[in-house]
Amino acid sequence: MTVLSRPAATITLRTARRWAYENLFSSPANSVLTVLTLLVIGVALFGVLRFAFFSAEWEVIVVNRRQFFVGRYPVEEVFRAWIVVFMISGMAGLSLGLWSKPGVRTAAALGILLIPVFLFIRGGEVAALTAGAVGLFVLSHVAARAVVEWRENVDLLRTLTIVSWLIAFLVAMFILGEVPRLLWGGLLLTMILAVAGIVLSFPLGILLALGRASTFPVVRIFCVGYIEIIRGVPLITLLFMAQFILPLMIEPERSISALGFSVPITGYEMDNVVRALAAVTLFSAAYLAEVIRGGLQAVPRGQVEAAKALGLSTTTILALIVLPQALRAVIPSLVGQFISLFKDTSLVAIAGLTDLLGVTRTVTAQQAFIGKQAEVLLFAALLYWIVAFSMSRASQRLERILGVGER
Amino acid sequence: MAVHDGTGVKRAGTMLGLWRDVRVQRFLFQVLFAAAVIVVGYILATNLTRELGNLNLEAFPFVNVSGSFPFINLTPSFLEQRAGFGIQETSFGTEYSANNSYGDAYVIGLLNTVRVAVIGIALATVLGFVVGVSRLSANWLVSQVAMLYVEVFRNIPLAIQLIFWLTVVVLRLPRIENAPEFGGFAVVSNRAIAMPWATTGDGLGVWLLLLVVAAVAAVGVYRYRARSEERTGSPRHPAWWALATFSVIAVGSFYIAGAPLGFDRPALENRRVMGGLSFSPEFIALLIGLVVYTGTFIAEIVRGSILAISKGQSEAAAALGLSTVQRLRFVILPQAMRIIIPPLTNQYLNLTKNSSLAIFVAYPDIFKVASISLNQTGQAVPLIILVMLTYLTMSLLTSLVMGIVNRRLQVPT
Amino acid sequence: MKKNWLLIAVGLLVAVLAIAAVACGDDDDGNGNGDGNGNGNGNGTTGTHEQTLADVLARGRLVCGVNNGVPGFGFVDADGNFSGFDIDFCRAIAAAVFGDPTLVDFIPLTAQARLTALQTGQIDVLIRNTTWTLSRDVSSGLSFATTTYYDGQGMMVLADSGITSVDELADSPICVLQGTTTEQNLATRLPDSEPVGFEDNETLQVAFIEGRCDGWTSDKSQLAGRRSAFPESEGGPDALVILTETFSKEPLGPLTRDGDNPWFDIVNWVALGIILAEEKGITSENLADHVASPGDVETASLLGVSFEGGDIFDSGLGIDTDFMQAVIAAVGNYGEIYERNVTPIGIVREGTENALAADGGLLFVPPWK
Repeated sequence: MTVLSRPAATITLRTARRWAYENLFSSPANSVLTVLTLLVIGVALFGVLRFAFFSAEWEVIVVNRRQFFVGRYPVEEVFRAWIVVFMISGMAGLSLGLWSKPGVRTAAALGILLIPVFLFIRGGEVAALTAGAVGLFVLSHVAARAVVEWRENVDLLRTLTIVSWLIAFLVAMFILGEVPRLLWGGLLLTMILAVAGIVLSFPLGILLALGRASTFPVVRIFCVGYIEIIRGVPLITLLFMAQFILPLMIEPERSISALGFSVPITGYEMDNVVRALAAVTLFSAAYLAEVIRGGLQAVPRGQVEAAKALGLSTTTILALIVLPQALRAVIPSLVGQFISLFKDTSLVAIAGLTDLLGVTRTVTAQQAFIGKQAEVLLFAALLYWIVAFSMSRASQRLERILGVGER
Repeated sequence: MAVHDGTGVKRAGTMLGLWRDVRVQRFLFQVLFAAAVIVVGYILATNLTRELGNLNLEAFPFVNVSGSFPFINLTPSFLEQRAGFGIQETSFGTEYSANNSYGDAYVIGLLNTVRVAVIGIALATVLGFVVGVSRLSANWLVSQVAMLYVEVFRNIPLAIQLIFWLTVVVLRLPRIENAPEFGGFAVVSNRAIAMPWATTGDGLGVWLLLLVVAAVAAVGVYRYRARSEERTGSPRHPAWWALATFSVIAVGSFYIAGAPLGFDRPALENRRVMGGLSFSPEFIALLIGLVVYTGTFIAEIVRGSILAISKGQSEAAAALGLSTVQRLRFVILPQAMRIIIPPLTNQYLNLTKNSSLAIFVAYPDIFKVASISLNQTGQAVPLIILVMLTYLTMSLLTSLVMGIVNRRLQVPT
Repeated sequence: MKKNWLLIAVGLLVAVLAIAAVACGDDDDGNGNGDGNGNGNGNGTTGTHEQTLADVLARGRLVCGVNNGVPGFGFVDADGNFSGFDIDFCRAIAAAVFGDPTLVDFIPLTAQARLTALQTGQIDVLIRNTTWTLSRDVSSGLSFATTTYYDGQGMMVLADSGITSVDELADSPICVLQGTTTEQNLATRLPDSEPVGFEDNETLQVAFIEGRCDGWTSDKSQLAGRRSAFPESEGGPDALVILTETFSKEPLGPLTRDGDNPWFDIVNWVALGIILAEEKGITSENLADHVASPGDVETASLLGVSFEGGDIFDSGLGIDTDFMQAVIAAVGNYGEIYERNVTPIGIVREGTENALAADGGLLFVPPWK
């Protein structure tokens, strides 16, 4: 230590002391709180670290890593999942770049959290592909930032990006759907259930929200009844209903037949995944309807009246004036809805599907890994957390960008 | 569809005009809509009843299209059969054994759900408010920890959290052999967590009556002192006086009535907890899980609502010399409550519905009991519908109560 | 609001199309629905179609309902392949029908969903440790093929607890694995016990290790599986004792739908053939020798080969006469299947019901002629 550097060190020390005094020990009560909090953090951190580094045996994850991510998806078909991962990371980078500057702290936090996940992914190929996906994300993000810097008006580009997300969903389903659904599992199945659940329930949610605001009493009663009933029961009962009652309703003649028309649906096609998806979609539609209703109410009445005065038809008013504004206002809530659906899909494990939570149950049935529940649950929790946390950060960011909530 | 011009002008007279009449169109559309719903429902119900008939299963309370009048099955008869399985814990002093019926078992499950939901709602509210306020605390560490808590527990599925609380925390409590008794005040073990509880004697009715009298007297005293304070402007401590009045009457009458309440202290006997009020580890794990999970959402609601109260309010209160606690208690929270109640109601409903995840921690709630019954009898349709109806009723009741609270709290106009 | 029905109609169409797009993602193997539809409409009851074999052949794959959480019997290995005792019987049926044991899709089912899945035609055969009971056989519209594994509910305790009989647990807390009859059996055997019913074995094991319960009850096969893998940190398998008493009969075997006798016969006789192969000493290794020179008439009939120049025996099952050759080549005989799946989880076969009748067990095959 040289003489010159001493004053600087003292100053930082003094600043730190003052900061600590002002923020941690400003009153006796505050000091007690600080000490207690430190104790709680210490105990929890100690317990987690001791488990992670000393008592846990992580072999169960290393051996079964593929099942955690894609379930029983055949090894020679896993490239399909990679294509989708690349597609999503590219588009995510693009979208993030188009809408906002990068959040360095969030990115760093997620980077650190991905390290343990990386530790389990042994094998150069997977690591290289993962690195590639991250690289694509960064690259497309930088490219998007450059475009934003270069051109003032990026509205068209933004609209295109939103549309291409929808197309990406269909393309992804097409790519992944080549493999029979009963082989889907792990994080892949969880993501598909959550994403498809939101996308498919979206049109239903709009219809229900419009129906609830409708001037037709019959339609309104039906929609209110549907929304309130679905929101009044736990998802797990709907999953059970889809599992036990749905097959009885449409299976008898191996088709849905009505008035001479019949849509053949064999039991083989109407599998667990489709039924769970049906339950998730019908469930999510009721919640989305309420979210969208909030958006509809946020559109000023004057707009509708002005449009009517211009002689526009009801459909045109809805499609071109009301819905675009309403949906823009509810985007952050939609992301919130996605997060809760993402977590809720873990219940399909009770209905016998091998989603991320379901996988934690099947791998511990391997004789070598009996009793390794803590390890697999911790790993699954980490994966769930990374996805849910990054989505919630994204939604907060969207909220700020779109200026929702500021009145 | 260019025929319609959207102006709603009626052109009666011809048949074509009738069709163009907006009222007729509206009516026909609704008839068609209702017909479509009924047809689809009819097809599904027909398939279902026929298929259930083939499987010798009951269809409650579905329309039994192929059955006899009134075509609705209101008595699932299997509910009266002997259940034949045990349930480890019951609520509110109810008794149950394997000889009771499936219907009885269902009621036991329902009471267990109600117990965990009611206690959970109370504790989650407290936790949520504390954390929500802590997130805005001046103590940096406290606010950061509050944020950490919210971000961690909000983003992990409840099912995983429940298993964590049971296997990592509650089951790691001392074994029954080494359970501490805290001098008869409480027993903490991983088979039961017990605390003292009141036992009742003969004079209880008399004492309760006298308590009502005490309460009335206390209110009277409070009003009198408060009015005197308003009139004179000098402090008369109405709350303290009321409390003192109540205490004196309550304690005095307690002994007059012959001390009808005693404390039943839990104790360990032969590896069992006897006496007191005891909770099973499954209940505790479910309770912690529900409270911690729902607490994160309530905390965010509370934080958001406090932030929504304009900063000027807080500053004005500070200028008046109110302390932090006083500012919260008298200025911020009363206003924030009005924004808080509707989303808080949703969280209460969520907590109640989420209690159906009890199956992950072996707590015999309504869903678990129904699931066991379903396993044994295969009567999926009546059981699932019964469970849905029950949750629906609980949800509606909660909404109703919270609606009343909400109306009370609104600014009178 | 006059025209919003148009919007509603368009929206509904979009929703239906979207669902259809997802539902038909892998339509290429769904060709079997044509004939399923044609025959199914004729009669409203599910019980009368004798078409499962035709469906299976048309589809080109067998759909087998199984468990994915029971060590040794039905689980998914690290490569994502199903494995276990029950799984081998599924493969055997596929081998018998197609000559190829890989042409089978496994659908993992929960205890509650399994019967409905079979009743409603989601699967062709259910091999998921399902107990043969009268009421299931009679009133659920299902038929039980021969029992492939004799199980029974038992009780496991800690070795150092000193408990030696089930009666000592009369009023103790007992950890139960939620099942179809497990809770009932416990309540019948120990009416005053406190049942703590878990939904999965892993959570139950933690509870048991931590001392929540004095006993652990489940099917003995499951108890043995858990015991053999009991962690060394807790004392290993020797820390646990499975009490000798068995307080329920659980004969487990494959199920098919009622009224489809040709299919039932195939499933039943494939299982019986696997047992007979052991009786005759035919293994996957010495199969070729037996095919070349069958030791007796029954062996020749079993393998679908000629005995000393005589006629080849036709089973009349509607599948290849030499179907058992494919079965044995694929999964071996009963002893081999047992050895491969059940022995590793620590259940000794000698002296149990699951030995051949000749060795004092209950496995007995009617004459193959």
